[in-house]
Parts: sequence; structure tokens; C-alpha cells
Amino acid sequence: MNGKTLIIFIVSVAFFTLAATYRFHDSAHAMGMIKQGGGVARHPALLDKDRDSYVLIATAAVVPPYHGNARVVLEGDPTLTATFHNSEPVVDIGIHRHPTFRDNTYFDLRPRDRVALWVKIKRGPVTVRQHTPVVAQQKQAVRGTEPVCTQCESEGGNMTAKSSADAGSKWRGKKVGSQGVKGPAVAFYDVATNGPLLRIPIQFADGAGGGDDDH
Amino acid sequence: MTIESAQAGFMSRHRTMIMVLSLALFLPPLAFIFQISTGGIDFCGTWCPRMFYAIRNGAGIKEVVGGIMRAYMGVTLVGAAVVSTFFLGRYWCSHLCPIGGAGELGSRLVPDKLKIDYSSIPAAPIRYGYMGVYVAAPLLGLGSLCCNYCNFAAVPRLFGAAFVQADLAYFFRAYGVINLALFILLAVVAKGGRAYCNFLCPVGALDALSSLLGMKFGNRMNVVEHRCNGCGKCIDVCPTWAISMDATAKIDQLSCMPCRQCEKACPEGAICYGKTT
Repeated sequence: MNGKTLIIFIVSVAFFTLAATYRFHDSAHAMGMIKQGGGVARHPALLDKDRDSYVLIATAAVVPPYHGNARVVLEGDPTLTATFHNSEPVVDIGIHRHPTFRDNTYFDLRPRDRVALWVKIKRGPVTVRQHTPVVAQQKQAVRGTEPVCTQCESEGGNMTAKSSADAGSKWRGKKVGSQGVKGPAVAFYDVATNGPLLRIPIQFADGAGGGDDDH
Repeated sequence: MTIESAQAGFMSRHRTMIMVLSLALFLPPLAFIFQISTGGIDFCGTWCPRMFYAIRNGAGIKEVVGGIMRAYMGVTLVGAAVVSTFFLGRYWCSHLCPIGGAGELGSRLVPDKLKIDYSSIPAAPIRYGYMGVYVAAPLLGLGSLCCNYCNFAAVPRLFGAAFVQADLAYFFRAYGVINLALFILLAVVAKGGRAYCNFLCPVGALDALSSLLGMKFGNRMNVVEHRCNGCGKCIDVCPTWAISMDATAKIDQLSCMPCRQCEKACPEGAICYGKTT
């Protein structure tokens, strides 16, 4: 290895290390499991708080025995506007079944299905008060705004909550952050029961950088 | 050095057609290969050819095996590419890879005067600098180059963006813009259309190592030294700037992919594909 080659190699290593370490927080990828009773995300989606728009990629597998239709909402503080786009074949040649997505709802989800949802997020005009779960404005029509749970996982993991609004709050309160702040999240709810299926918390950081969350 | 000369075969004569066919099979709107096999729609997920060797800090055997199992089609694809390269040279890269093919075919649509010539930059140290960081950064917990700078994610979405909003959304973020810029600068407007493959593709980097290691065993592009008159026409047409000139042409098997442009360009018939003994 001659000197020029060695120098180029060292500079490359330094440059690509910087590229690997630095992270643009206008987008994030979160992976989770859609599960009856409430699945979990592998980690929260980390976004830069100073931006006006973001893209969140949410991929999730459906854990048996869940099957049904799942509504997707962006909820919590601050007020955010979201549009949801399902990743789907341009031309579906029909050999394998794919769950369909329209009106912010996945139809006919079955065990072991995988979904990839692209969420374009914009900040709303105002920031609403903290500690109050608020469902974000949706550009596309959704069936109701406030997700209502008839059965949700309580702090102890038992299905005990009866009051729908209380159950939703309890479930959300448990999953969001260590300080109990009900920050924004992309949430999946079963259409038939309004039961939680998956919640992907969104955390806003002070600035870009730090590359250790996901690939 | 003796060389078993080979006639320009099917793969050489029909390379452009094979690349176009590969685009049609792998990329939107049909993405036929994925749809008929696993029901996927792109290289992400089961077909991911990159993530299984970007192992996270603290990952145990279970996680590593799990990553391989999740991307089993991508692992199979890379394995087949590396093994075939060992014996036949980098045909995956030169003919079959839809990502490299898209860049090269795109570059053919760009006038030569607008193209950037990267041939003065040695490719191998950049490629293996990238590859080293690609593997080491997640292992050390520093971060990752894997999905953020992924050619196998960006190019299919570029083809799908005209049809599917989710694919379009990929380009509404910094990484989408960066990947698009890299693809344009290092492929579409690059002389030969293969600078991205040469610098930044981890699959290409693995394939190149296999090409070098299998040089004694398999078929490669070779120079018949006594025929070479040193005219340098082969250098002009090589998309990966793998040829250098001393008294005669020398081919760097770490960068060469058997596109066989040099074979066609050589007026003396001094370059051919065959076994080196």
C-alpha cells in the first residue's frame, strides 16, 4: 500500500465515520409489533424538535392471533398534522395477499403480515397544553379522532380497564416516556374494539447528531 | 501467463438487454422477483442484501442469526453473487444488479460533456474505508451507514416514486435527498455510470474481494501482454477505471467487473475473458 492510497483510506475512514455517527433527525425509522392488547416499538422515533416537517417510517409485523382492521392515528402533544402512506406494490400481480390501506386504516391484517407505513408529519399551528392526550389533526378522513379503548393493558399487564377514555389514557400514559409526559405517538387501534395494537412514541431532541438509534 | 481465450458470449453480446431485464424484474412498477417469491415489494426486509453484516454493538449470536433469518433472501442473493464471482468474475455487478444497472443505463442518457470523470480517484481505498466503517461503526456503537445511505433502498424508490406516495415520501427527508444526490452524482452523471458501485456499495465491496481471492481459480478479464500495444483505448471505456497502463495494460481484479467493454474496444484483441493459469 503506497502513501497516497493509505492517506485516501484514512480520510475515507474518517469521513464515513462522521457520516455514520451524524444523524439527520428530520426522519426516523421505528420497528414494532402489531399485537392484540398493545404491541411495542423497539425504540421511540427520535426527531429534531426545531424542524417543521418530518418523515417517520413505521414498520411492523402482525403477531398472532391478531387479525382484523387497524386504524392509524397520530396522537398526543404537541399538535401535529400527519399524512399516512402505505408502502405497497405499484402493480400488484396478485400472487401474495397484501393488506389494503385506505382512510388511514389497514384492512384485513392477518397474523405474520408486515406493514410499512410512511408518515409525513408537519407541526401544527399551535402547541396545545401538555399532559393532555390529544389526537392530531388528520388530513385524510378517519373514523373518529380520540381512540377509545374498551380493553387496554393496565400498568400491571392485566386487561382490567373498563372506562374507555380512562383505558386509553392509562395505556398511553404507561408507554410514553419516563416522566409520564404524553408526547406524540403513531398509534394503531383495532377498528372493531378500539383496542390498542401498537404505539410508537415520538421524541423530540434538541438537535441533530448521535447515530445510535436504528440502522 | 497463459489464457484460455473465450469468444464473446451471450452475456457480453446482450449485456444491455440483460440489464434492462434486471431493472424490469427487480424494480417498480412490477418488482416481479419480490412479488413472486416472498410477496415483498423491494429490497427492504426479506431481500435486504446489506443489513445482515452490519451487526449492532452488543448483539449476541441470537440477534445475528435472527438478522440473517429475517433477510434470508438477501443473504442468499449475496451468497450466490459472492460464490459465482469467485469462479466467474463479478457478473452480478456488471450484468445483473438492478441498482448498478440503473446507474449505468441512466448515465448512457447523459451527454458525455456533462459527465464527471472520477478515474483519478483510487477506488479501492475509498471502497474499503467505507466498508470498514460500514461494519465497524454499528459494532462499536458509533452509528450506522446501513439504511441511511442505502443504494438498494433509494433506487427502487426512485422508480416507484412516480406511482406510490410512500416511495415519494422517501425523498422528503435529508437522507432521501442525499441518496438521490449520490445516485445522480456517482452514477447518472458519472463517466461509465459505476462510481457509486466502485466507491460505496458494500455488496460490490464483498464481491470485489471474492473476485480477487478467486483470481487463480476462475475466469476473469485478462490481458495478453504480447498483443497489447499500449494504446489505452481500454482505459477510456472501463466504467470502473480498473485498467492502468505500464508498458501494457494491467487489470485490477479488485475493481474489474466483466462488462467486457475493454474487450470490445481493444483493436489488437489483447483483452479477453477466460481462465488465468
